[in-house]
Amino acid sequence: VAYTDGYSVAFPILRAMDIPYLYNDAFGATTCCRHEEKQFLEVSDNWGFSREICTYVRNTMGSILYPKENWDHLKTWRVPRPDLIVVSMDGCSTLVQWGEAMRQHCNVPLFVHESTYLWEGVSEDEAIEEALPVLEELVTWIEGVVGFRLDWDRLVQVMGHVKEASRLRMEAMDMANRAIPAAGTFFDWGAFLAGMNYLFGTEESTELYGELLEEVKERVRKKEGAVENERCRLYWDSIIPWPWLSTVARMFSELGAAVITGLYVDQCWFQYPERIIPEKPLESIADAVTFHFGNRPVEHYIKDIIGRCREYSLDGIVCHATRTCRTYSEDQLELMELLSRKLGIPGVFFEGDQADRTFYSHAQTHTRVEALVETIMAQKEKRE
Amino acid sequence: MSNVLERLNAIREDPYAIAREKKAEGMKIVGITPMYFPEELVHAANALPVILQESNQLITLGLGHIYHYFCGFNRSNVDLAVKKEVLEGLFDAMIVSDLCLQTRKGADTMRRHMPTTPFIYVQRPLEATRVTLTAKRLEKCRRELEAVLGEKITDQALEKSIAIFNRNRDLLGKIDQIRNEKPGIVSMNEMVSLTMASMVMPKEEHCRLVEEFMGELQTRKQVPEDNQVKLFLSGHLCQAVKPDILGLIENLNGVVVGDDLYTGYRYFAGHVESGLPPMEALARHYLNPGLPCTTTANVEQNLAQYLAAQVGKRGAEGVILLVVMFCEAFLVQKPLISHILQEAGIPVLYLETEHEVVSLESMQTRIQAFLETLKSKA
Repeated sequence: VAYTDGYSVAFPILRAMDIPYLYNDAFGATTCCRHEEKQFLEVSDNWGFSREICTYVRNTMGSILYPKENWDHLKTWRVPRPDLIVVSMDGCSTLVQWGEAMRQHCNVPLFVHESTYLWEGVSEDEAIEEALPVLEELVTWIEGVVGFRLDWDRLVQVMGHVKEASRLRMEAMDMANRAIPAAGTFFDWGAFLAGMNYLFGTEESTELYGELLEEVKERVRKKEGAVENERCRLYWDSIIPWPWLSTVARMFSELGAAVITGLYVDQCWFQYPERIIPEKPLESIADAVTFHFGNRPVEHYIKDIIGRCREYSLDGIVCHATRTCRTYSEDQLELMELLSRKLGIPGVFFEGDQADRTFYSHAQTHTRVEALVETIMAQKEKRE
Repeated sequence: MSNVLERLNAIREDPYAIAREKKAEGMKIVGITPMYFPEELVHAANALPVILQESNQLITLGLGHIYHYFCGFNRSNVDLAVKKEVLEGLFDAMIVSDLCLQTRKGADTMRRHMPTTPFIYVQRPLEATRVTLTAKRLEKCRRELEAVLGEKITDQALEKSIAIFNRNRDLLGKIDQIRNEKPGIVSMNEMVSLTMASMVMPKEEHCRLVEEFMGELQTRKQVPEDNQVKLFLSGHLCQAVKPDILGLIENLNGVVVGDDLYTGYRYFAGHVESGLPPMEALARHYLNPGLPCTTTANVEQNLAQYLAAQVGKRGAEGVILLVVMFCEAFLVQKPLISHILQEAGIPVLYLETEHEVVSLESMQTRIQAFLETLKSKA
């Protein structure tokens, strides 16, 4: 069993080698969505993990350190211990400390994959060139730990499924986002990430996203909106506050605000299917992680957001200041300044967290989002 | 107060004063984000390397550009860049040594607010075995520095710089040895001031300053050990511990016999190897700076075990973990470090520090209680 964190660079290799893996980021999110994260956070808090570190780390460590005598209470959340750990640093250095903490507690080997950050002046070719040997090293390392070889033909097959699932997912989101009213919301796309994590590289994943695309087509044809009486359309920056997923989704819906898209759902998870060449699996993995949004300075995705605001007729921006995920919230203040003040796209931000419910205040967020919607509506009326 | 101490205090109060003086004299100044970047590269280009410091100023305008839950070091530097006062026009180039997402983010925001300063980016691998990749990235940095500063960085110049920097490490290492052999003769605040001075002034001048300080030590009488509690300080990456906090520890009869703080032993630990091609030697030191670091994955070295060994070697009775609030690089590892030390029978006190106000009264009570416990064990 492998544990993995960060970008999903190891997924294709592990899938092709039939090594089951636990993706700790998704484990954290899923326990939160089902409101069962407290049991793990309590354990990590008692161990002395600070609330100011990434809550996914606290969640994982709580699971690893959960007292064995209480395992019966865990039911579905009782996960096997790892035999190996792979972390992929996609712009977030905390992944290294996360990996080290797991390695030291579980006493198993750790591999750290790092992508080359695309700072101004670092060429994309150079970044890919640096990423490849590390991926080759990763394959050799996994083979060494598990004691058998990777079947490269199988990896090509896996990458074929990844390409197809990604194409279907991106097409479904794009079609739904362009439709007025929007046929799906950011929160739907967030829930659908499960397929990219748990069914990664399988035929089932292509079936899942194929069905999703069909459903979207049908909704678009019927002009069936995901939000009843859609009044405005918003962009979401950062991760979903998973413990509050349904509450937040309902709040926007009741205000007639359709949160359409955000980089969390479409700038991650093998986001450029057209760039995946299954016959060149490692090159494709290197490409995907290098062009992941977290691996680039803010200027890049400001351009991306502006483009999306036009394409999807977006009216405003909501920034979720994820208290313990500094990678996802690091650029929001600069982003808001550029978009709101310079381009006249209104926005709000509110503090919360991807997995610690206590950092989020629903009453405060509601007031802010309501004010944003009213501002947008007033602007629209003025224009009309 | 002696001349040396007055000078050190002045540097700690205004760490960029010397850089401003040198700049006025025509020297080129290169700012560097902490930690570990081989300053020898800058020195070999006849420029002054200056490690960025956390300012004492209240963070105001910067809060519009970086969230309050980023570490004080980065918030403080973004604030300075936005205010366009202290750093404006000071640096001929700025090197961003990326080993932490908060440092990278802070530097990236500074870049936008310092448009006339060329920023040179170096990504330090976070896995301790990647020497070839590190050397390649440093080589690129060397070429960029040459272009920005208009100076060729030759291998011969690098070798000279390495020798000067190693001598500086040796001298600071001697002070460390003295404080270990004669507990209390050098205060931790003095150690921090000495190290911080090394980060912001020419190494040649700093070597002379350390020698003067050593001369002064010979006239000092050793503090009687009766009531002292010997401590090892760990933590505080990137930024200096506030003098008040170190003062509290020492006023309560805590005596620091060793530390791994960045503005302490961590800065001058180890040596750049001689006998290797200079760029390779620098890459090795950049990646493995002589003691374990929580920023880096390293199977060979483990900070908790290192601390346990140091406590034994230096005769410390307990460890104080001084951790910067929001510093994930240390906070994630902290529980394991505490557990390993406690399992080894080493008492640990954990103190969190902030850029803004820290309740010194509450901290004093905790330190006092810790020291009393240690005394009762002795």
